[in-house]
Amino acid sequence: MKMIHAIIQPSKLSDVKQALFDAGLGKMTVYSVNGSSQLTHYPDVHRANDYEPNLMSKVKMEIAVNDKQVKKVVEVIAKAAKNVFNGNGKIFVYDIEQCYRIRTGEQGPQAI
Amino acid sequence: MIAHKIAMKMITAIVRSQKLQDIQTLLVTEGIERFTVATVMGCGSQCGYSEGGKKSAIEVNLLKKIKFEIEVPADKVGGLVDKIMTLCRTPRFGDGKIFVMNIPECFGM
Repeated sequence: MKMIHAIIQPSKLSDVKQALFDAGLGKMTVYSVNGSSQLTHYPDVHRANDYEPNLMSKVKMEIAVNDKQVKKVVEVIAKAAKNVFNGNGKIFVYDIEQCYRIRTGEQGPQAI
Repeated sequence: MIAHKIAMKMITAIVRSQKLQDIQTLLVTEGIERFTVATVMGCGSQCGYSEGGKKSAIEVNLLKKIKFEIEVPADKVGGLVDKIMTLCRTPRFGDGKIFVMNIPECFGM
């Protein structure tokens, strides 16, 4: 079981959500975060001569999946979140030791 | 900076937003006063729709949830997870999930 954390641009959230749904994955947790990366500001925001690393709004997506689905999910997110300029985001994969479904009390891979 | 040598685990519980106060009380009575809470949006296998509900144009409907991040020593994990599960259980979909992850190192600042 793996936890996939994807930090993407807010404008790409609906695209990624739709792409995941089309790939048969409708479960996720989403919240807004601030972060800085190679891109110092979004191109449509005018900031003359200011290259300080400032924090920009991003959306963080957390998806728990079983091991064999990891590659597929990462590919789907990476494809849907792609944009023409820098700062498309990052995807991290973590290990989950145990997973519980609260309603039934199930454990392990079938609870995901 | 002191590195703790005891094995630590992180419990991430994503539950219904109305359960915030209940879990908070539970944690304090259990003697766990250190935890992080965040308001998140999310959905499970039902894509955010109740059973038999009419789907709208949006196919994935994100609902308001509360995320708890609790760091505890490895021996306390089992008991705490059971108590959170009993507290949050309802017969309806959308009760949430609990994930347990390993923390390789933990520092007190």
